[in-house]
Amino acid sequence: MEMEIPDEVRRELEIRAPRARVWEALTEPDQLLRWFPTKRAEIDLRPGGDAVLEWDEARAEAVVDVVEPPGRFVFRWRPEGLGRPFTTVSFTLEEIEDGASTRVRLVESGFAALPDQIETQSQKGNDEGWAHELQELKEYLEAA
Amino acid sequence: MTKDAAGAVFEALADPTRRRVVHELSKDGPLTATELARRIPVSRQAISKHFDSLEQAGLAAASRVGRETRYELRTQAFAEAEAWMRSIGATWDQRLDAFKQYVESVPSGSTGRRKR
Repeated sequence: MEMEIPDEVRRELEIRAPRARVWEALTEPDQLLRWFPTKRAEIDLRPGGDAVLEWDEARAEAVVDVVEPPGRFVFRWRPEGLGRPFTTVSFTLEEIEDGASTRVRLVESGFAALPDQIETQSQKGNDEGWAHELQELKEYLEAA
Repeated sequence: MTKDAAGAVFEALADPTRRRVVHELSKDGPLTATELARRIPVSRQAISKHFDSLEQAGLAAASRVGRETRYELRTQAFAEAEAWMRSIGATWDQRLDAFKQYVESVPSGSTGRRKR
């Protein structure tokens, strides 16, 4: 088994729909409920706004960080079951094929960061340190 | 690994000094607290405290060798945390598949959404 703990999850996909359509499906709670498997969703869609997602037996709280329709939506949330850490979820929507389709990039990052570090510039140095550490660790474990 | 356990792992590694301890142990471990304090510019007591956090998160283990306590990494917790990260990725795969299917099957303007 390859030994590595990445600090982020990255995904990319193409959706055959215009960017404005993808944006509304992503950010309007009644549409979000149609594909994101939650029971209840509330989003105060502005920077600093609160959002809540509720499942049958769980609840996630989020804070909206960036709202730039129809290209960029960023929020911080506390994944279910985790204590202090907030991770940052960033969606970037890019027009492709003359606007007929949209490339969606998702990054959930900050699994190794604490809340007070997320809002500061020190986050970057911290993440680089973390990436470096993991590389060292990977080399060590693979050599063992 | 439970999410709480994974959270403990990531939280333990969020501290720069603890990452430094992991770094030194991964390079040259096992090491004693004295040896670690020589490599990292904090007190031996501070090293012990940081080490306790790593141990509680399951990332490291201490063993007595004669009169010394030696510290080393436990690979299992790292492997489990990695598996947990993969499961988060798998969850996103499911959500994004559903997102794509929903958007492509419901054209704009036919969502019946309320005017606000």
